Amino acid sequence: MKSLRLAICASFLAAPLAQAHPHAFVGTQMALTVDGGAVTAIEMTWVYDAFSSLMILGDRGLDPDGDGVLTPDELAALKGFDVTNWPEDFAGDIFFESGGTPVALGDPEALDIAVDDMGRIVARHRRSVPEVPVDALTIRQFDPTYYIAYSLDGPVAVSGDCRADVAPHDPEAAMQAVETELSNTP
Amino acid sequence: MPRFLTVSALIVGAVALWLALGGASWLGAQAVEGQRLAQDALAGAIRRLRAGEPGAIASLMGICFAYGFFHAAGPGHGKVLIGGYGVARNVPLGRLAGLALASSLAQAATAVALVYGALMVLGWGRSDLQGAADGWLNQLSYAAIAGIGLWLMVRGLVRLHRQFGGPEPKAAVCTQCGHAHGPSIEDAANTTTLREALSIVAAVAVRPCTGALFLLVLTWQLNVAAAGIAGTIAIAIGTASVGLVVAVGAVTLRAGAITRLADLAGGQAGARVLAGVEAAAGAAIVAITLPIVLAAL
Repeated sequence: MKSLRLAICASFLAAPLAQAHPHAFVGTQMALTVDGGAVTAIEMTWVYDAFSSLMILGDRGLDPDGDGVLTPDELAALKGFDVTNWPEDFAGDIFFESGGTPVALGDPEALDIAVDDMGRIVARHRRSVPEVPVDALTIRQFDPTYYIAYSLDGPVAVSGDCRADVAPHDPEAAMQAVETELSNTP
Repeated sequence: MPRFLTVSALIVGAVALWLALGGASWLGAQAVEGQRLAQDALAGAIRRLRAGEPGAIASLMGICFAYGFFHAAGPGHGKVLIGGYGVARNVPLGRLAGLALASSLAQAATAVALVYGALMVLGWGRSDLQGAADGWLNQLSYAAIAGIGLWLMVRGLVRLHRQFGGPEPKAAVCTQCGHAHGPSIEDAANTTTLREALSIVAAVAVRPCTGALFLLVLTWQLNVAAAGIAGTIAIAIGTASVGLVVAVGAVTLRAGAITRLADLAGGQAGARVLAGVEAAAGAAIVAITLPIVLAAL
């Protein structure tokens, strides 16, 4: 077995103290496509907490009776809601680094949409990765504004002869980063 | 009683030290997990309410209270102010607890006024409301709190200066003509207490809880608006319960350690201790809140 390693860090990264509590919780499942020792794509499933899901549906006028059961037309209207019209400075809250250099991912493509029996929106999308060697690849998932608290649900699926090491978030390091950021702000 | 207070003050000090040495981030992580659970439960209660299930309103109130509690257990603007003020000034526990409750309830009133004003008059959506709450209202609140901290600091420093041989405060009644030319120290203390209380409530209330805004918008969309307003008040009571803990801690610390120290020092030295503590607590409020205000500029 090739000893290829990926470090994945799904973090609740505490960001500015001013906004010290998150308002949305997103559980993530990740699947990486590895081809010939290089990552070529990532598929992510985002599970939105039930309260945020209600609001997302409410904002779009979907599911007006609030029972969490959507018609096929409503689901079709919802599909891709979280991967379209991303602002210029939004990179999907996922950060790839290869040997310390940021790697830009391809545009997201919506795959699936569903609402589970707890009323949570389950949205899946795929992004291409410009063939990054799996050695020394670091993937971090966090919202720099800490509006969303991400958590990694389950192991990271990796295709091929490869495995991912998952490092939990480090709140102390996060707080340190915030303090540094604040003290660097004039 | 004094010994009990001193021991309690030591416990408060130990808790403060634990918070400073990493306890705060542990507590924050627990609060985030609690909020996550409360948020999912909240959605369930709203859906049951919409479906007209019996008992849904009671469970919504309970969950809203828990949501407010967990939301407030993390770091936040109100606690810094209530805690700092309670340490800086000789405030009776009842009054400080009342301030914590009043500022939380006023915060709920701001949320209701903002949501219904903005939805009905301005035609705003949820993201506009959230932008205002997390944006300029947040900055305004922190700026006001920093201002109160600065004022406490200046007051403490002025008193400290007087203790060190500054000009004597003028007598309340003029020795020449027997009339009062200006307010006495007691008069000033009484009027500033009410003004202080209103400033504190306003500084906290100007920034509504984003979660409460969301609840109000959501319940309005689902035609259960009254339940949303009641839930917002329940969130405020949950938030206030954390403020109450902070108030008890601050008053205990002051009565058990600071006042005792001042009594032991006695006379002028004691007065210097009290003035110094007021200035230091004010400076701490400024140090915590000012970077947040400046970072947004």
